[in-house]
Amino acid sequence: MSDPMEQFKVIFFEECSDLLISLEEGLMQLQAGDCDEEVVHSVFRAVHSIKGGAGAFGFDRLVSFAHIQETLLDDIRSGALEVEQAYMTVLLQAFDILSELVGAAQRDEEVADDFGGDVAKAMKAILDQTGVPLAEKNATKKPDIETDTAEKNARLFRILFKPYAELFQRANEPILLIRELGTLGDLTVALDVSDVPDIEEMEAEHAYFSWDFSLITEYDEAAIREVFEFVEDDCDLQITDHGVYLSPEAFVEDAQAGLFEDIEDEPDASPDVLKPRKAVKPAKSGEAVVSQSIRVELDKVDTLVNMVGELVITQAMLREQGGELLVEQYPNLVQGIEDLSRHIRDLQDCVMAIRAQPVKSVFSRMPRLVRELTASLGKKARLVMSGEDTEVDKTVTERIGDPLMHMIRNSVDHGLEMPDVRAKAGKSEEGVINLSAFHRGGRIFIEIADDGAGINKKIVLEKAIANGLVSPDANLSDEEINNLIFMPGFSTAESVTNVSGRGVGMDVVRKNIQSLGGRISIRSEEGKGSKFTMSLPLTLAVMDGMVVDIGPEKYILPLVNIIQTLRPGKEDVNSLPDGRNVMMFRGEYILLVPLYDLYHIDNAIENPCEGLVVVVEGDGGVLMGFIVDDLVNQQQVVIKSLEANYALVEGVSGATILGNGRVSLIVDISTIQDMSANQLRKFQSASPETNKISPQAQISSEIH
Amino acid sequence: MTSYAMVNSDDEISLTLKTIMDLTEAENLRLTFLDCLTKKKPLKILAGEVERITTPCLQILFSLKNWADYHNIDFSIVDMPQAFKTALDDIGLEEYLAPLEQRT
Repeated sequence: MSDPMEQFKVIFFEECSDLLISLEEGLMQLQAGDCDEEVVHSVFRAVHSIKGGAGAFGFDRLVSFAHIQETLLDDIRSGALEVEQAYMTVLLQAFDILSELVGAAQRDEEVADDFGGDVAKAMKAILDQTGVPLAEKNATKKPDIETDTAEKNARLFRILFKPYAELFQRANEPILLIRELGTLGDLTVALDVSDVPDIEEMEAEHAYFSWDFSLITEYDEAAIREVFEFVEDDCDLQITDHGVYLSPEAFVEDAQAGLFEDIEDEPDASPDVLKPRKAVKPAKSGEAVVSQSIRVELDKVDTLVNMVGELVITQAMLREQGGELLVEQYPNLVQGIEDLSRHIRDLQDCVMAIRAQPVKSVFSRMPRLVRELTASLGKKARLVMSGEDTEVDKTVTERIGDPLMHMIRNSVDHGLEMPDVRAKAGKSEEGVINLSAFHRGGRIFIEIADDGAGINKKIVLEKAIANGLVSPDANLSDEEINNLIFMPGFSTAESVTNVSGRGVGMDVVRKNIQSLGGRISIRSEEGKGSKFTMSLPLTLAVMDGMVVDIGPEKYILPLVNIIQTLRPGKEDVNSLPDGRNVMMFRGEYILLVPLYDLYHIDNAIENPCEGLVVVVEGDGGVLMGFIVDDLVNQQQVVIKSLEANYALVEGVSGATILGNGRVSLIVDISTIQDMSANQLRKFQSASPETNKISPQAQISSEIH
Repeated sequence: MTSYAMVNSDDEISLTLKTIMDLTEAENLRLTFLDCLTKKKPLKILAGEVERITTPCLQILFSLKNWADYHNIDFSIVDMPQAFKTALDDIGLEEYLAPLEQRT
């Protein structure tokens, strides 16, 4: 990135993203009735900061809109306006517009002239209710000193401002700061040019000017500090409150009235214009907050993750080789390999933690979605979120946004009833959607639960039969009927709307989640609501796997899916008429899946009673028994994308490199489940597969 | 980075400032000025096209003015647009640079 301004813009938009999240959180708190001063302040600061940054880059539309919003929030902050529900609606709409304007600025897109005009008008109307129209409000931001003097509200501040070079490098500009400072009151600017060197010696990006401002204002020191909030770490800033400002005339009047008996002398004060009523508050120097975080380009983190991944593979090789060494003969070497393994594991955890992000960044988009949907559908709904700080790999957060939005949309559109229907059913007119996230068993779970009508199983089954998705004589369990909504082309919507009803959705949702190594399940009770549960891996870069032998090849089974490993007796295994085998496990029959057959592996053990059965849990809690030759070991594996490095292979979610340097494929449990349920018979009844070769053998032959 | 339009006549050098004079232009401007200084001729800065000028460039202009004073070289800024003047006023630099203005 050669243009430094572009770098600053990137940082600005990253900050905008954080600020918008913070802004929406604050607005949601205000809407929920939490009018805590700090909440109001944080909301104001978010808009103020966006406006400040936008001004530096000349995003005029963004600045002008944010200015109205900021003014409204300032009135709320100052107590001139009470937070009312009507205002909240406008403020939330304003948030939406602000988000769009930030997005448009980021994408360098033009926005229509009237975009957001109605919301801006609504905000101005609220401001006008406070008695001072916005235009006048702006005009009167510089207080009339005579009036102030008469009212004795104005104070004199002295502000010493010396920028560092970093201030320019972060795209901040003293001129803009000075202009903003000028809006607070009557500003006198004294420029110090004493540090400016000869032009031959100058460094163009260095800061040589410094300023000594005098500001007569009704605002407090905090307001002045806010002007410099972007640059506090990039300058020397001293703000000194010289107390109440009095014009010479007022001073004389007050002196005659004997009002200065308790005054402490202020040596720096100019006697002709100033007599403080209080001791001068010391400047808050040295208060700069040390930043606890830094921004790092994602590419750099990914490079680090990849390098650690390679380190893990190398360590696995060393460990495999070292396992053959005699401890007595090489005690230090064996101990060193053990220590290395432990440290690399810790290092990997640390590196993966860098990529971890709270799901808040995804959740934060949902309140707006619910607002828009309820408004367009005439429904009432409240979104309750919890566990937003639950962390998961950035890749996962980036890819769960769309599935999550789709499910929320479905909950509002299909799940929640219209207010009158809910009232008749004895429910509150306002439906509740709970969106929660939590960690369990090394995975992240995200649940979307609504208290709506639940899935009408009769209608779902009728539609599925009508669409030819199931046969009319099918005898499906409740769970199987619920899962029909994940079938391609399934929709119960009576009409196609812009919200949903095109029958493209839940199958895509499931596929997206599966592509992340996740699973989705549904529980629904008619009249009471539905709950969708997504289970996702915390990271897509590494996983704990079980290495298994299937014939001459080694495959990886995700450890999280494994329930138990056993060798069944002959009496436990039964054959079905279609040729498939089932096994009794914990009182139920589970399907035995011949992986050797699905992967076309020769010389594998086919009889489960001679090999082993690994019982795994598939989607929807369905148990299956994978027939393998033997277990090799359990280890952490670095996942390499097969799609990116080779090609998509059905039944395989990725690959890894084992300690012996060989490629090993990772079994995709979900796909195997589908293949077993729908295609196994086809696989088994196919003509002798003399030409087929296992994917692992093929990949290995192409690599080596 | 494009160079500045500079006319080096027998009796003076005139240099036209760009529309946007911000941080990204500062070093280029300084180097261009240094090039002008070697000629030791009266210097005219044509500012008529400036729409935005920020502190880094104003620092360099100020330093150039000091150099011209020290070497007794005529230095003027021609046709300062309002944005230029406002920037000088805001920053507190008008007392140093505004008197150098020439109108055409």
